[in-house]
Amino acid sequence: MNIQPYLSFEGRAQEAIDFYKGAVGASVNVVMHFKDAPPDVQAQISPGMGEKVMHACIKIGESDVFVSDGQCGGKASFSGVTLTINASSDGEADKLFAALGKGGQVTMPMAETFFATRFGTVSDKFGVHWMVLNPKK
Amino acid sequence: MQIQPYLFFDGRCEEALDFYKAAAGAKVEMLMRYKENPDRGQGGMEPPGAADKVMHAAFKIGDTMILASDGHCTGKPKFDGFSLAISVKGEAEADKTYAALAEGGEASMPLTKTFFSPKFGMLRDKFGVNWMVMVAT
Repeated sequence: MNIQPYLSFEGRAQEAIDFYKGAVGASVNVVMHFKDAPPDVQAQISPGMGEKVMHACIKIGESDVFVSDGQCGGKASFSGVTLTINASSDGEADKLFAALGKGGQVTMPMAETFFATRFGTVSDKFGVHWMVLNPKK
Repeated sequence: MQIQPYLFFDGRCEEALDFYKAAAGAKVEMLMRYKENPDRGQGGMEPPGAADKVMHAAFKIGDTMILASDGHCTGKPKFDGFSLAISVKGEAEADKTYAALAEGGEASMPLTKTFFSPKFGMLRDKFGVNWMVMVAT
């Protein structure tokens, strides 16, 4: 049994996937567009959604993350959740933090804490919240 | 490099952990309260009256580690823009997991056969966390 976070980008999924490829080295395992769904599913979607992402699975490090355009509402909103990304060195943590923050907003700048040599929080340009850390061993 | 979802329960974290223990067999691996913060009193983020609240917890469901906190302890957790997708082995386990997680919550899409899974359903649990339950194929 395993669990994956599933993020809904409401129309910007492809853009987000491209951003995470560059920022955190995401690789794309699966992308399925609404137009590729069986006819009974397509009958339920709104016009213009065909090219949007119904389901995608991207891999960041060793973790799978699911992505969709959801209802294609146009405005993604993320609350109550943060994605924690564990780096293996301070250098890697700094690099990931800077890349994820590009066009977004730093909510807590990188600093040493009692549990990590580097720890910071940032909201990326899609509104997804991230914690980047290099945990103390 | 690993990514873990971090959920903010805003005062109901311990209640949520107990619920996930029973509903999904969660095992709590670590729990730290605000009063146990080694940097306590140094301008940290402890909300007033939150000494006994959960600053950080880690729990495992199946093979996946999930992090949780009471965060700002506003009393009202709010989850938006994401789901946790839980993949189980068989249809019986899907039924059991779905029913347990939905108790006190809301069945947004009852379990049904889809083109990608023999059983798939969505629900919002009583804390507002959205789940997808599916039999992995």
